[in-house]
Amino acid sequence: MSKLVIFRGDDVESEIHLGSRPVRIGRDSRNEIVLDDKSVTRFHAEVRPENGGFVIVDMKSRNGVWMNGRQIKGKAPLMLGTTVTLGAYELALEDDVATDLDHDSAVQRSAVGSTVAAKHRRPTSQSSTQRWSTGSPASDAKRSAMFWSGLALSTLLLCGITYGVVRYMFRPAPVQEVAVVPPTPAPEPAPAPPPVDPNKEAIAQHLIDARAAIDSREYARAVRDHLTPVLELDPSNQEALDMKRQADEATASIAAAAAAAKAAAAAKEPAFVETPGITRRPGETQADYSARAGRIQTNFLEGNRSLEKQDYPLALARFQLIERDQKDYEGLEALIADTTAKQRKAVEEALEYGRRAEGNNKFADALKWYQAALRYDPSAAGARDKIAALTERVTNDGLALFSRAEVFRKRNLNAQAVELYKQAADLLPTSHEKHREALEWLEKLKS
Amino acid sequence: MTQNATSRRHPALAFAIACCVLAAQHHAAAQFLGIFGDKNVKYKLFKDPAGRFELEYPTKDWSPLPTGGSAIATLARKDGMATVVVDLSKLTEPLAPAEVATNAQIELEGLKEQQPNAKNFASEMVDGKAGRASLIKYARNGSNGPERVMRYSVGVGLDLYRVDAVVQEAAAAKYEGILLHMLLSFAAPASSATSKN
Repeated sequence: MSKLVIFRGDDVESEIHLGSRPVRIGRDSRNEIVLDDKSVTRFHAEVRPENGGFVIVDMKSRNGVWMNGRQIKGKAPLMLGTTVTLGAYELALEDDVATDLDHDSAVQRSAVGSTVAAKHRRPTSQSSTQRWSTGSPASDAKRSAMFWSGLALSTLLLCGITYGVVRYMFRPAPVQEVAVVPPTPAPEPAPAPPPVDPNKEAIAQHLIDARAAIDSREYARAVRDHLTPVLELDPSNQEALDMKRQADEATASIAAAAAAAKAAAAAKEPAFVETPGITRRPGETQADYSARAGRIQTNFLEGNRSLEKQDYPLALARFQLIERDQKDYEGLEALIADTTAKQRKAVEEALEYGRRAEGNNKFADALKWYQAALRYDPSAAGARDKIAALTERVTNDGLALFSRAEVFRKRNLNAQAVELYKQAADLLPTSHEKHREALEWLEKLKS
Repeated sequence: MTQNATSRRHPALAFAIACCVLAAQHHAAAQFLGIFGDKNVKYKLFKDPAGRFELEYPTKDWSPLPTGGSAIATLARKDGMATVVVDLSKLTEPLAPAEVATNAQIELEGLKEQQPNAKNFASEMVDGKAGRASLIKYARNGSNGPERVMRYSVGVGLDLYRVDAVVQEAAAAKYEGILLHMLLSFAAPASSATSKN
C-alpha cells in the first residue's frame, strides 16, 4: 500500500494513504490534503491512481508542479522516490512501510537510523523510501557477510549522518519558504525551487484579495482593485478571468434587480393628479406638487380674507407667495394690481381724514387715521411723517398744558390746574416724564 | 503775512460789531424811555411799611394813599389823572424761570376774561429791578372815561406782585413814561430773600 507524504522543510506536514480515489491537494479546505500557504493554489494538484500506479495532475496551479526540477505539463507518473515540489512543499510517494515491515525490519531500519521518526522527520536517505525486503532464509556465512557488510555500511552511514548533523547545526539560517532539502543521496541533486516572480506574487495576492472581495459581495472593488491589475499583468490569467466574469455577472444581476425594484416601485406609485391652474414642474414628485398646490390654495384663501379685512400688506404677502409657487395662477397678477390700488386709495383716504381731524384740533382722531394709513401700507412715508409731526405737535401741546397747570397750581388755582393736568396727561406720550408727573399731581390735587 | 494780518483783523472786527450792536440797543432803550420818560422828573423811594417791596415815585404831585382789599400800596397823583396800585398774592411754589412767560399768558387771559370790554391788549416781557416780569398794556373805559392800563406782574419767591398803573387816556402821553419808570423801579428784596429760603 502506498502513501503520500508531504514535507515542508524537514518536517512532515501531512501524509495520506493512497487508495482508489483521487487525492486533491491545495489551499482550499475542500481538498483532501490542505496546504495552507500562499505558494499553493486553492486546487493545486491531484494524485490519482492510473494503470496500477499513481499520477500527479497539475490543476492549472499558479506555481505549477515540479518534478525532479522540471515543471510537469498536465500530468506525470508518480514514482517511488520521486520528489515532487508544490510551492513550498515537497511530496514523496512512499510504500507504507509502517504496515508492511515486520518487527525486525523496523528494528533494523531503526538501527541504521534511516527514519528514527518516520512520521515526524524527513527521511535522510533513500533507504527510508525504498522497499525493504521482508527477509528470507540464508546460510550463516552469508548472514555473517551481510552482517559485517551491514555494520560497515551502518558505520559509514553513521559517519555520514554525524557529518550531516554537524553541517546542519552550523549551517546558515534556513529560508522557510523554500526550505527544500534535496534527498541524499539522490540520483540527481534536488532542483532549486522555481524563481519567484514578483508579478506572480502580486498576482497571487490580488487574486486572494479579489476572492475575498467577491465573497463579501464587493464585486466592483474586486474588479477595480484586484482583477483589473491582475489582467493587466497577465491578460490570460484564467482564474482572474473567471473571477471577473463571476463579478460582472453578479454586478449585472444586482443592477437588474435594482432596476426591477425601481420599476416595481414606479408601478406602485399612483397616477399623477394635477390641480387646475397649477402646472407640474419638471421632476416634481406627486408629494411636492400636492404640497405646493395646498400652499397656493391656502394662500389664495387667506389672502382674500385679509383683503376683506383691509389688511392689505398681509393680503399682498399671501399673493406674492402664490406668485412664487405658481406665476400665473388664476388671474393673480390682476388680483395683486387690484389689491395694490385698493391699498393706495385706503392710505390716501386715511391721510385725508387725519388732516381734517388735525385741522379740528382732534389730535387723537388724527393720530388714529395716520396710524391706519400706516397699517394699510407700512411703507407709506407720508403717513409716517404725519405721525411723527403730529406726535411732536401733541407732545409740545401737552408740555405747554403741563406748564400752565404748574403755574395754576402754584397760584393756588387748583381747579384749573387739575383740568390742565388731565389734558396734558392725555396728550403726552405715556413714556414722557411729564405724563407721569401730571398723573401724580392729579392724584394729589384730587385728594 | 497777509493771513496773519487778516486773522488779527477778525477779533477787532468782531469787537467793533459788538460795540455797534450794544450802542444800537442802548440807543433804542434811550429812545423808548425818551418817548415816555421825562428827564426833569425827580423821584423818591417808597418803601412798604412791612418791608416787602419798594418803588420810586415822583416827588412832585404824587403821594401814597390808604389801601384796602388785596392792595398793599396805592400811589396817586393829586389830580387823580394817574394811579399806581400794588397787589400781592401768594404762590404755593416759586415760579420757575420757564414759567414766567406762561404766567404772563395766564395774566393776559385773566384780564381779558375779567374785562371783556377792554381792548388793545399788548404783552411783553421786561427785566426790572425785581427780575424778569410781564408787562401787559391795554385800554379800557373807566369811571372817568377812557384810560390806559399797564400791569406789571412779577413773582418773587412765594409772592406774586401785580402792579397796575392807570392813566387817563387824555394824559397818557404825558404820564405814561413816569408810570413805566415807577413800574421798572419796583423791587422786592425781602421777598426774594424769603423765596431763596
